[in-house]
Amino acid sequence: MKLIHCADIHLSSKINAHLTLEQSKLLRDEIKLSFNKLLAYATTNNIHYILLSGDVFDSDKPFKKDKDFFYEAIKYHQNITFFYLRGNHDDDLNQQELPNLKCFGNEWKSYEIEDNVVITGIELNNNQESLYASLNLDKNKINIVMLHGDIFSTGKDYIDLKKLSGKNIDYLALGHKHTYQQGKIDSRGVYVYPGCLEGRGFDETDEKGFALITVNSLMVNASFVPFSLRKWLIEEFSLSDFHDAYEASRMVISKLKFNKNNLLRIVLKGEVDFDKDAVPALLNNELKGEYFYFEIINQCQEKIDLLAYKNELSLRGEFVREVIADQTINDEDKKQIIMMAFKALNNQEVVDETD
Amino acid sequence: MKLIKCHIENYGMFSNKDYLFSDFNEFNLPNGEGKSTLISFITAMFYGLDGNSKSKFTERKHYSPFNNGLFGGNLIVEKDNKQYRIERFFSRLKQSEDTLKIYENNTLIDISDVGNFLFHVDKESFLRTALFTNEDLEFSPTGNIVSLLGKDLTSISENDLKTSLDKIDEAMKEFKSRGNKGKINNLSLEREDVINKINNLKIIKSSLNTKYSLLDNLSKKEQSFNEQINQYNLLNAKKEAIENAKSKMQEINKLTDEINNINKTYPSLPSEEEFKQIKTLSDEIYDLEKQLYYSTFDKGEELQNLENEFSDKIDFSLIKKDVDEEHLVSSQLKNLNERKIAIQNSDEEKKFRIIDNSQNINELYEKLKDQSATKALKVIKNKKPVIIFLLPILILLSCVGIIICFLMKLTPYNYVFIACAAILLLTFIIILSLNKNRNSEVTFYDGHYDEKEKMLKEALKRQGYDYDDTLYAYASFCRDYQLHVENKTELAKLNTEIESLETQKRELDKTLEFFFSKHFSNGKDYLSLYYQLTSRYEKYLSYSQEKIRIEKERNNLSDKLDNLKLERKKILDNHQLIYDQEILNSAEKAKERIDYLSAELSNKKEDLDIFLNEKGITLDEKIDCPDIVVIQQEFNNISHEKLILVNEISDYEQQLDNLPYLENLNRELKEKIEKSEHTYQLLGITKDYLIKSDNTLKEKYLLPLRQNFDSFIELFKESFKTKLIIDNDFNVLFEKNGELHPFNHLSQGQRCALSLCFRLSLSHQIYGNEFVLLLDDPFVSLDQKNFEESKKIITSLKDLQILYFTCHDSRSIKQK
Repeated sequence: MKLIHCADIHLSSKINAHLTLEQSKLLRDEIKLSFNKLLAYATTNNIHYILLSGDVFDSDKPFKKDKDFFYEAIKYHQNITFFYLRGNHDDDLNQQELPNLKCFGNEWKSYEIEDNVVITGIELNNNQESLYASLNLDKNKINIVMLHGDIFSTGKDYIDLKKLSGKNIDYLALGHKHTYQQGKIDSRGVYVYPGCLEGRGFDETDEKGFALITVNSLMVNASFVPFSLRKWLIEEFSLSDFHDAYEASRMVISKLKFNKNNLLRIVLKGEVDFDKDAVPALLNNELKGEYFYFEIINQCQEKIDLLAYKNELSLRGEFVREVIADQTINDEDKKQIIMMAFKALNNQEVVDETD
Repeated sequence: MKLIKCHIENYGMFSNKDYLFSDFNEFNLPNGEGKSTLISFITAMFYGLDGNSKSKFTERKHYSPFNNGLFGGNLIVEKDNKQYRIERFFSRLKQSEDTLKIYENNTLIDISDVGNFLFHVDKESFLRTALFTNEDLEFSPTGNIVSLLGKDLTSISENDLKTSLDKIDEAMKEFKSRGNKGKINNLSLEREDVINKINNLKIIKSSLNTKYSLLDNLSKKEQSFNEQINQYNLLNAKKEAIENAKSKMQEINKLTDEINNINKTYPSLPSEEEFKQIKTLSDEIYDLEKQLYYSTFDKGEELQNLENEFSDKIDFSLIKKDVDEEHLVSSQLKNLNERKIAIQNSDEEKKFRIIDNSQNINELYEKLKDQSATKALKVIKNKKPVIIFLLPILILLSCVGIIICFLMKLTPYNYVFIACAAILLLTFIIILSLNKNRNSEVTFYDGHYDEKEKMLKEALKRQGYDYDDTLYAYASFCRDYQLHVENKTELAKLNTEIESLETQKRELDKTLEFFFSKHFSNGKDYLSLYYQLTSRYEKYLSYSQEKIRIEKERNNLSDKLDNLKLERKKILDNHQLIYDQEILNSAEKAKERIDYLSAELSNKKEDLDIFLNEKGITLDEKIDCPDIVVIQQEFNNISHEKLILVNEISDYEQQLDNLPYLENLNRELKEKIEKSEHTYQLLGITKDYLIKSDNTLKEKYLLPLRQNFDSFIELFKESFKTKLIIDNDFNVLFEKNGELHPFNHLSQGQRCALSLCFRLSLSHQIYGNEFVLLLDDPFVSLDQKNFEESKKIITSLKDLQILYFTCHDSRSIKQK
């Protein structure tokens, strides 16, 4: 028997990137699309159980249209039983009563399904201590437990894995972390964070998807199924070894794998002796249309040999000495001030359009 | 650098003039004696003359010699232990026609800008530093001078700093400018707009929560009203069901009443089977009666007549014989008569019937024949019948048909054509041979017997043989006459036969007429009469047999009929009914009706029971329904309100879809503004530091100048009685009442002294000690005291070569 374990769908969650309004809306809509795809996957692969370990919605006051979407999806897939554990973002839902939607509450609740499998869950509240004590599972059953919280850091949503050890748990279906993680609870059971279905910013660049649980009489196995429509990527490049903006941009281009579905952040680093703003300009031209979205973080610094100006009897030299001597200005600003002055003295544009 | 000597070829008022220069040269000359001309010449030797201008009175024009000699000369200078001879000659019109030669230690060298080569300054700078007049009190240095002042520094001109500062200002204006313009302001406005939108959306969001609650309440209310409506519907349905059941019950009662009524009328009714039986019996009875009715002999009268006719026995064979014989005789007679008529009506007979001139014609012919004449034999051919001409054509057509059939392989048809052709050919041959035998042969004598011939011809013509050829006419007559004779013979024969047959016929007619008159038959067609008679006899026999048969049949039918009637009566008696079709029909209908009603009643009762069970009601149950109109109205109102609310929520949610984007945008704008502010701040710092650095530098290279200036101006302290300074922009300022004021406020004399000190300071700074100072009566505006001080300054400049021009003794400076 197979089950799907997913969590942290965060319907209508905002996207943390400098996207246009249309892009932003599209990505948010794609989270729903991803959920629909998941249901289609279940139908196609004859999977009749889906565990939703919390944070289906992004807000404690989700939009009506999002709730309608969720409940309609459940209604439409009568052949799938959904085990829905609310998370920290799913409060106050006024859940609809649907025959194929199994919910949990403030006390442990169990549902027995086929093949001797029992699914038990509880929604975390302030009374954390009692929840471990009150968990009693039949050792002869295959026990899947659903929780939404953090097993790594203490806090409001902390789950103490040690206190769940020895509780006859075969599979701990967790939610809250947006990256797939797996580990052992004890000699019998494993815990799994399936991650989320779609990334929502450049802080979620790892693979997204869900966990596929395979249950047989002997054991419970889980495997990660990558499922996201798009990937968030960060690529860092050091340009210190280049003396030419064009060469530097070619190097960056050569290292990239274009994909119109993905979102890319390029971070340029290093000290350069050419116009540091030339590389982003070149890359902008090259990358147009090659990604769904891309941004360039230019952390390059132009090389200035400040020591050379130490004794120079010139306005530049005098300027550099004056600026360096000012203790109230930080080093980065000093560099920028010096570059501005040099550009001005060279009759160049003092500030770039990006500044 | 020192001036050694010069030779003026032609320049202004000078012509072929030489001067030798020492360290101090005083030229005390009245006005118009060439002081300015010499200064101009020296300057022109170094820097040339500017181009001619149509509008201005230039030096070129001013000093252009009136004679036609060479305009120019040469000047010998010494610099760095080298002697340079400068030879320049000027065009009166164009600068491009000027010539220049420079000799370094008598070696021609290629230098175009002599002044710059010798002094490293341009003309303007030279004039501002080397030349001093009482008119030009310009203090400010040129850029050239400034750059020279900082010659130890990496070259920077005042224009470079200005350009740089302008660039920075320009950049700063991009960020901020007057009238709330600039990038920062634009970003701020944009951000403000975004924040407003966010705030609006937040308000919408907060109101959205209220709306969600309201929606929940409305949904609950709607649900409640829906339940009430459902409840009402249930009750109403129940009530309707009870009504329905009651109406069913009424129908049942109606049926029961009707059945009872029928039973009253018909206490006992035959069963369906019995009705069928009665009907069957009645149908059979009816059929039998019908059969009986139609089973009668309706030809009684006719049979009686035939019996009367055939009461006596008739020998039909004998009668037949007589009839046949009579018929034969009649036929024969007919044929004979026809033949007789045919003969009589033939063309030949017609001719001889009308006129029989045959004897005369024969006699005339005989007479002709007696005469000696050549026998002419003429064979008169009989006219050929038309068929003789048709048959060949038909035969030919048959042959064509045969050929076509063979060609087109129409096998059966070709035999047909062959047969036709054969028959036609045979017929043709027979007819041809018959026709041939009928030709006549006539012998004539050919000769002169016109008159007799004429008479013969006339006679023939009267007889109907009107031909040109007499012989032919006579031959035709002979032919026809022969036929006539033959016909006559045949006619006689025919008449005899006819008479005999007529006699025979009369006897037969008499017998037959008598016989048939007894049987009411008249007419002469005895054969026909005979057949009629036999026919009637057969009819007589047939009718007799039929009569017997019918009577037998009627007896059978009657017996059957009686039995059936008996059987029917038996059934009817059981139910006290008599046989009356109308009554029976009525009874049957009543039976049908009762059966139908009973079935209906049973069904309705069953339906009613089922209905009551299904609905869970009883007939005597009472239901009170609430006022649905009010409930429905409330429900509609709430539904409507809910719909509006749902639309509002949907609209709000759609608007709120933009909120994350706006929040991101707000953050982004904030970052941009902060970055821009920071950049703007840095630009300000950059600008300040540039200015500061510039001032610092200037301070460095202005110091010597200031020191020199201070040392020179010290001599005039009694005159100025105020502090004088040179600022970083080379402006000379004086202090008064704690404030610095520009030199323009000073008197001309004071400005003259200042100018002297300033220029001397500059010159000293730039040129050092090797320089020439050209003083063109510079002290005219000084009072005596200041003149003395100035004189001290001049005389103290021992290291400089001085050319002092004055026009008055009081202003003479005598070099020690």
